[in-house]
Amino acid sequence: MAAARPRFETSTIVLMGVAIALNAVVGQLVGNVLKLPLYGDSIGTVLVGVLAGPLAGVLTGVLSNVVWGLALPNASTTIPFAITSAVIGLLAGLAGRRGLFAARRAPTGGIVVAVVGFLVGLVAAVVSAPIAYFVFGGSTGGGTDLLVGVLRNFTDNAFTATLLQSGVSDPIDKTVVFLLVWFILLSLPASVKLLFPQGDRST
Amino acid sequence: MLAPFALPVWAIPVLIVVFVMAGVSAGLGRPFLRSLAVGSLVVGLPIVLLNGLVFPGARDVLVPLGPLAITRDGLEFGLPIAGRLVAALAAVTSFVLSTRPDDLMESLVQHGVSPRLAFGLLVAIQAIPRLGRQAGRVVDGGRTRGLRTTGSLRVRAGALRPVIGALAVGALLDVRDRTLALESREFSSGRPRTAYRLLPWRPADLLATRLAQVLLVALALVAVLRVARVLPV
Repeated sequence: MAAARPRFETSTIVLMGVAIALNAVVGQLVGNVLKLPLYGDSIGTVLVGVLAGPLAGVLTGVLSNVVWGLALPNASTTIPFAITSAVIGLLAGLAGRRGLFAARRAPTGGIVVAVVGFLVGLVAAVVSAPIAYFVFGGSTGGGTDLLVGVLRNFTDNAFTATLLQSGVSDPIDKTVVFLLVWFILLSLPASVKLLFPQGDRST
Repeated sequence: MLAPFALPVWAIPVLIVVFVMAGVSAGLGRPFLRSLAVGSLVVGLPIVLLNGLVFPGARDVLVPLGPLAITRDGLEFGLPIAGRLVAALAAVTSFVLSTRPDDLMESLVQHGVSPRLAFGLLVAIQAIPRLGRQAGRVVDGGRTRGLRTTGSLRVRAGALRPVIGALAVGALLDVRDRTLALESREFSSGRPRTAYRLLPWRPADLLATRLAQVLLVALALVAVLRVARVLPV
């Protein structure tokens, strides 16, 4: 049994741990310090997906939501969004495997990365809207609630309002996150990228 | 934590009382109650306000408030959702505040979870405050060199790349150093580990675990029966 389990390299394990923390800290930084209408809390998940593959990305996404709950009890309500995080990690991993983040594709590669980020955001919106609606009654406890409230005046269906809000917020957020990861990988030495199983795809 | 979502609405107040009493009887005291109160306000209030005030199709107005109105339909939708989340929050808060993360991981490893995965989780829990301090330093460092982190949306968005880029690259370089340090201590050798903290496993722990397992199965059963409409929703 033990031999059948996927075994992550030491570098991947440490990367996943740091990435989970990065998700939490960047989420706080974007929301509370820079006060931007973005989430930013999937940057570590995308980094792991690109550098260490889809499976590591999925695991990082899921565990991020669990660990926030363990580190900050008030964040435990985000646990249902682990499903969205897993999808983001998976898609980022597949994009990384296809070599979309390869430094040799710069500078035009950034446009492809932005488009892929936007599409991942659309998928994330479709996945997270039902969670936001059925578990949180359409509210996610952030500035986006205001948007949901405004949208509810234009539609006769509360779920549509939540879906529209996700459809606006998520693609913008994931486009920014994917571009940030692209810039981070461009400035990262190849020797560090090559520590990770899929790192050669981004050199 | 799953109970508030598996059981019907009438069980929510009971669960909140049970979880709060569990936290108080565990001696968690004021920090527990404060954390729960803040969390309930942050999580519950927006849900009640959003649905109570703006709920498409709601006609049964309870309190008219100018252009808005508190409606019965909105409250009937929002209150149970907020209640379930507050109950879940009470359960998680009492668990988190009464359990050391390293004890939890050690215990998980003793019961078959991969030590490598448990280590990864511990790295994450310990890295959050460390990386948070580092983020503060990066922002302060940027400001002293003229980076603007307040002002218009455009100005704040402009700070995104330098601040997060520096933080993430620093974190990734730290991953390299930690990996080398771990490998020099035979982290991936696969040989048995030595532990600084040993957790005794008492008969009462075993009893509590078995009880929790039975409760979990019962909850799953109730949830399935409610979804299948055998039990009232």
